[in-house]
Amino acid sequence: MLCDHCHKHEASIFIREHGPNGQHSLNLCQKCAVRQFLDVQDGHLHNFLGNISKLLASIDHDDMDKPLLSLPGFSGLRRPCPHCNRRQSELEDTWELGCAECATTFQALIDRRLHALGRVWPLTDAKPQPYTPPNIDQKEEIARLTAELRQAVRREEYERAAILRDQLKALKAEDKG
Amino acid sequence: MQGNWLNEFACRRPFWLPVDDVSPRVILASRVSISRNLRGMLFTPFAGQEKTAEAVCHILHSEISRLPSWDEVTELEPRLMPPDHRAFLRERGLFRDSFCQIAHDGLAMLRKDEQGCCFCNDRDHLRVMYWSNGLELNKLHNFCQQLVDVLAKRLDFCENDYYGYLCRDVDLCGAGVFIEVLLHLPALVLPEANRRKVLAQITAAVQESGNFLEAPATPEFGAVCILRSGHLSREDATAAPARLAQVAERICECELNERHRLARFSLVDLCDLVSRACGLARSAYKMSESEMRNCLSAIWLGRECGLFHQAETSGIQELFSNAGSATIRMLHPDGAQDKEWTEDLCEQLRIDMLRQSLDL
Repeated sequence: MLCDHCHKHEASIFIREHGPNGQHSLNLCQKCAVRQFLDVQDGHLHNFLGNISKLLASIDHDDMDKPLLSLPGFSGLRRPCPHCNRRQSELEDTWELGCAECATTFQALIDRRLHALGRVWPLTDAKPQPYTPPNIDQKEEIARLTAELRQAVRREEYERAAILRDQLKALKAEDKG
Repeated sequence: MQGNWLNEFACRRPFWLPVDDVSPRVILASRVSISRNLRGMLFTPFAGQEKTAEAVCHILHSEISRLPSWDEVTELEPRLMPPDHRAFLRERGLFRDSFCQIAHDGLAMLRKDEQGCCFCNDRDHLRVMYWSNGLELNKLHNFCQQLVDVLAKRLDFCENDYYGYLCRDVDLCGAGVFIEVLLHLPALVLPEANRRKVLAQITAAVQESGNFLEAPATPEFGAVCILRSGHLSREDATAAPARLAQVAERICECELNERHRLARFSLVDLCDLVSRACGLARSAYKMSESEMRNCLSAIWLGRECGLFHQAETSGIQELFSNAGSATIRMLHPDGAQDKEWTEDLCEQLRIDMLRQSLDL
């Protein structure tokens, strides 16, 4: 099925809206979806679309009957905090909680952050790793990934850019930790 | 009005300075703080929360004013204070950097004797702090705990089952107990040859303590080093004062041994260190904050080793605490001969103050 917008590429994102006036559908290729939505919404849609795309890519025909939440790649972490409505992407940007409820909603993410900082949680007798200054290879790796990330964004390969961004974040966290 | 009070405050000797002028002091001061969450409150100033925050501040005020020795408090709203005033309170050791920068709907109640403070803001919700000179961690921890227990009768505190206390910063979850000891280590830190040794010793103590101690930052304040507890679990928090005291005493012992060694076997090195500092103080035209603290640390060491007799230790200590730019501005409320305040002017006033006080 071709994209409803450019009519050139194969549509990979299918949006169905069920409302009081009936059902509407929109089938878009990844590029058009990003262009279409980035104008009106915030940059977090990159992640959203990237994830949907990943999710769709991972669906086998046999899996079609399974509920979305049970599919690989969909962890449910993208849901905002029910109390303060803070999103995961906001938390990842600043590492600041909106309320105490966020800790329950984003527990896995917070654990990962604490681990990256060399802190073991829940606290046990285990000792954190002693600090080692980042070696030159790590710095080179950061520079290489940054260049690749820029290139990926320029080419509008947002899915790849998201992966590179996560790798960069992890490396920088190691560097700081 | 607040400015006047702060100017008077700046002219007073900070409470954390040692009282006597006789024995050499390595452990200067202790500070303990306990933070708590308020159930249902957001950390950031979301719309519609102002009334709740106001109610919390009201309860806090009425509860605290009933407590003995909390009847005379100064109420501050850091958000409304000029940056200079906040910087002064930070230099004085009463505010933390983070509190100064991100105080939105904050309220700070500071005891007039400078021994305790209570904050209510959107970062910590509630933080109670106590200070004392010397090593008094257990006593201070008990004071904090008692105050928190009193407040818990009226305020609804909550803890996460998994992380315990939470605040706006993800990294600071745990027991909400922060313990600090201020050490003056001139013999270990000032001689270039010893610096590595002391850093290795402190790093070893940090590593041995596991999650308990935070690695101290590079000493920015001359030879003053802050030993700070790190990520504490609820279980660790009870034993933390005793553990930190042990580490502080161990470092204190190293410092005293080093002073002894310098005085007995490397007297030339010691004399060189102190004389260089005196020479710099006599002839410099301007001096930065860290330079002045380094200089004062060396002179202080010389005084405690019997080499420098011009000034009393208390005078040196007072200068040490007044070295910051914001404090210098506070000490000169009418400006300096109608000149515009610049960092250069501050540096000139700093060296003038040093020369006058030490009679050089």
